[in-house]
Amino acid sequence: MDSFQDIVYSLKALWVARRRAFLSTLGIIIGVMSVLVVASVGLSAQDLVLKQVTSFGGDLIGIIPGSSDDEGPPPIAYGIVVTSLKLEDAEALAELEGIVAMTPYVNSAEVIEYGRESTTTTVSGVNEQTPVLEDFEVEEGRFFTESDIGRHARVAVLGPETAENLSPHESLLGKTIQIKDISFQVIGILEERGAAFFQNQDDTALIPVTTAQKLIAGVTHVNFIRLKVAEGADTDYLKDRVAETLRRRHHIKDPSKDDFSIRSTDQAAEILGSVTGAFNGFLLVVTAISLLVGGINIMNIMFVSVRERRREIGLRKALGATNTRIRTQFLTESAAIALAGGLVGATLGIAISYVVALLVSNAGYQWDFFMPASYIVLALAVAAAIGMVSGVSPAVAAARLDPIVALREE
Amino acid sequence: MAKVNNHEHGKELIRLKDITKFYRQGETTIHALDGVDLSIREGEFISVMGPSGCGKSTLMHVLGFLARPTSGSYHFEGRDSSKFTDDELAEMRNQGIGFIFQSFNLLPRTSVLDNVLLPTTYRPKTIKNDVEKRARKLLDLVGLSHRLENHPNQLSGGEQQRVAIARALINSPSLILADEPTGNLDSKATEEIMSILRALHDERNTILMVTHEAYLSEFTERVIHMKDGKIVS
Repeated sequence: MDSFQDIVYSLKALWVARRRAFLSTLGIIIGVMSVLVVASVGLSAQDLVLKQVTSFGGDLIGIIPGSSDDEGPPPIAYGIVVTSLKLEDAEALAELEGIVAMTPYVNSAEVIEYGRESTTTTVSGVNEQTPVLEDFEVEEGRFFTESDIGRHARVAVLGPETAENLSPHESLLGKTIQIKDISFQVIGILEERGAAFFQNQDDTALIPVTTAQKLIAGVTHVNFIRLKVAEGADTDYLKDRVAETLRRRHHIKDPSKDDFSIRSTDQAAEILGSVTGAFNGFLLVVTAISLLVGGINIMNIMFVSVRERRREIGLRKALGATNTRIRTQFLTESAAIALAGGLVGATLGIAISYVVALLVSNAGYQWDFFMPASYIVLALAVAAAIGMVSGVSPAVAAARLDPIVALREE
Repeated sequence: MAKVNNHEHGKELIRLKDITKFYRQGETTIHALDGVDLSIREGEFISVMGPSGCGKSTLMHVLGFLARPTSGSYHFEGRDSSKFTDDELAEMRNQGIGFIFQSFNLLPRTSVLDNVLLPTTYRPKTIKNDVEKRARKLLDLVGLSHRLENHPNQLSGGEQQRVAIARALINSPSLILADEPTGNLDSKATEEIMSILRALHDERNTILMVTHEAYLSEFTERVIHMKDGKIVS
């Protein structure tokens, strides 16, 4: 009852000086707003990044040629081509228990022509298991089969964007295109997939890996191998089996002399998750500083308020208010200012994050809106706490006033 | 204006013995009170007179527990106030004393009723009764029952001081301290306030009023004259 009346009086006092109260809480409004926007956008961005890595569904194991320790980049990152991985290695790995799909990749950038149209895109030599491994379907026609691969068939499955680029108006299915001046029959068009691993998967041409090695890239190695891990299988255990198999095949006894590197998506997701998480945390700390500035603002205004209401404070003391009650009254007031500012800031922050999410997803990204209730509650609690803390020294100053001196003020 | 009625007085309410109050002001020490002895009995109506700087305000602050004396003893209802903690002093101001100020000191932007109720918000939690009913009754007593929801700035000076009197009475204090209660009022309002104080006296309230108007002291039973921090008569 008593403290309720204190709150009512505090709110009344704030309402009368609402312009000033608004100005004093502007810092908190902006602070809470930016903290929530940064947190929400950060979560969405992190989610987007992780979706890229895990978009094939399930854990993938990637084998790239050349040695590297777990943290460092493989040689391919420096433009060094290592030819140690062969098609036979890939086939041997497919035999491992717990592997549901295996695809070797032979990639090169090539010019594709159809009539007078031409486009440059990544031509990937892959095998018949690719749709399972990469988790996609063929929209039109069919994918190539094991026998297509066995006989070095000149068939191609195009990404929808590539097909559109070459022939905007009619379907390319069954038509003949030229890749590096060699004729290929288009037997399928892929469904739209968007981006994964930060590559556009819709602008691509898939051909049998054997054909790619022999006719297009002119190599005998593969660029990399991907394995899809069966649901529930132990990825780390499988990585060890993969390493053992390759060492046996490559006659390597000392693991430090490996001529291959093994990566998995769970590992990548973990690293990406911690990197983006650290980045988000850093941004949050930076924006949280604006909350501190908001608190200092409130402290200033509260000192002015105490100064202006010395008579009122003196009167309340003369009528029996203890120092504690006076202190509580001013703490309540600054907490109320901060909390009100926090509420306004949270509303703005949620609205802005939502608009950002709408705009970005309209721009074609898989961007989801995140605004966990715990963040809102935390931001409001921090705002109120900052209000209390900034109110402490003005409130103590008010409680220390000598009522006789205060009552004499005009 | 009718003169004061003399009543039988009750037991001793206040006893001051050799009270001093010194203030340091730079290098010099001001002896605001310099050995004051005073006894007040229940039901008395006393005025304190004297030139400015004579110590009458300081006496009032000491009596009202707004300032601690430098030395001497102050017994209130038999209790030695020198041992009171700050919180106990606040409780004494709340429960024992009703203040009436020269400049009314009402909270702005707050209704007449809430102003009268303000001291009740500082009462110890153990006391429970219908304070609002009592506030309405007191406002009726000072003739303001039609002004409950008005704000102080909508009232005349005399009306504001009547609100302040109702506020001083809300916690049924043992002593009413009035510091030049009519100093800011015209003669008609002065008459109203004095007749209310006289009525309170008739109801056996104990009142101490500081004034420098000689004719107002005629309405009290006892006049204390002060000079240089001492009671001279």
